[in-house]
Amino acid sequence: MASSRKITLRSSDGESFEVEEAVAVESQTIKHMIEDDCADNAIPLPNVTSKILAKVIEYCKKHVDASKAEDRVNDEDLKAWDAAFIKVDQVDQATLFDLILAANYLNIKSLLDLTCQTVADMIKGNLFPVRNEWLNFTFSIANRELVLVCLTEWVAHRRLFCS
Amino acid sequence: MSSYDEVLKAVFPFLDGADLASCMAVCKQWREIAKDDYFWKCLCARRWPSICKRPNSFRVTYYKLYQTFRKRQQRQALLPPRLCFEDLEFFIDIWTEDKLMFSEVVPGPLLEAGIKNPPSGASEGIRLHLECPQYKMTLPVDPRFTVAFSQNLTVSVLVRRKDSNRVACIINNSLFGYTDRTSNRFMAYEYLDFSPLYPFTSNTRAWISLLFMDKDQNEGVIDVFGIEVDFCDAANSKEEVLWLLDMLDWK
Repeated sequence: MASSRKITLRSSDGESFEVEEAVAVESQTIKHMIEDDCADNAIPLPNVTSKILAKVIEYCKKHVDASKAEDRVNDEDLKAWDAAFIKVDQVDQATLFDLILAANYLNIKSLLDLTCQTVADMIKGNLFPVRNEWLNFTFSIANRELVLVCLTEWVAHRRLFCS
Repeated sequence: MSSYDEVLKAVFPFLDGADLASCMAVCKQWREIAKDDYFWKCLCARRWPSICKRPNSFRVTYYKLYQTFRKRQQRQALLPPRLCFEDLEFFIDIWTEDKLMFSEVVPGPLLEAGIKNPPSGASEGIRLHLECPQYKMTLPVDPRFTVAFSQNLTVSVLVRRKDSNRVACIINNSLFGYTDRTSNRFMAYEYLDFSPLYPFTSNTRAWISLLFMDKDQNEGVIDVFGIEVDFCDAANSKEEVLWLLDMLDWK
């Protein structure tokens, strides 16, 4: 018997989002907060910006709706929706990272699996740009020769300056 | 711990071993994270789930465990043998029913050197046999001796090692009974006795052959110009032969 209780979530930049309880408790973190009775006022989420929170809510809503009897969406369609949701030209890398962090913090397993698997696939496919902080440029892990050269220089430079 | 690190730590469990190993090669930061044994423990648990039932009972890290057993071991190169031919002496005795035909102490290096030039009466088949890469120890017999197939020829071969003065048996009074007409060899064999340190090595034979000239075969008499000892069942290189000899039951 789902009560249509509305929960207010507040992002780190002060924006408020009102969602149904069923959607909010997709997040285990929020679920525990509600159970511990911390949810009378808005639930503050200091680690999540409004941009990301909006996407997370979109995801949770879709998944809650998909499992409701009236709007029964089959698995294939949901998977397709997930794929479109996470598609890399829709979601830039920074957003993808923030989604992983948010899913981790909010403890939404399915979203975490989806986002991490996407990044894992990018790593496997050598499409993942890596910023090397010391040398301050970005390269793809496909350029392994470049990695070797850079690491050698890093080591050599280190010897010179850090002995 | 930066948020970038957090993301990597969330993503790495989704990679398989080869990809995680590649991540270790990307840069120092990735390496620091990817080498955490936790990820490798997860990979081991996926590959060999029963491992989880004994969580802390391995001498090596899960990283090492995964790396070692992930693939079939390639055939390891043999360690350098502990013996060398300089250390060995072979006692070779060949009898017919009533006469000792050949009785010599052969130093290892002589057998190692082998027969450089088969005499001119030797067949093509023998030359090919001597040249083929399967390792064999050969000895020229000079002066040559003649025997008939009908005579019951028996042979014994003992070997002594100079490092410990111990002796092992290679051939224990075996009868020559097999003829290879392609390579003109009259052969005897013996199953080797190994030291109890090596319990599962059986059915490995030592072969000894009399190499004879290419004539008079039909008369049942052979003109022997050389002796060959080989272990073609199991050892086909010099190092393998030396290891095999090392494993014998030395007394």
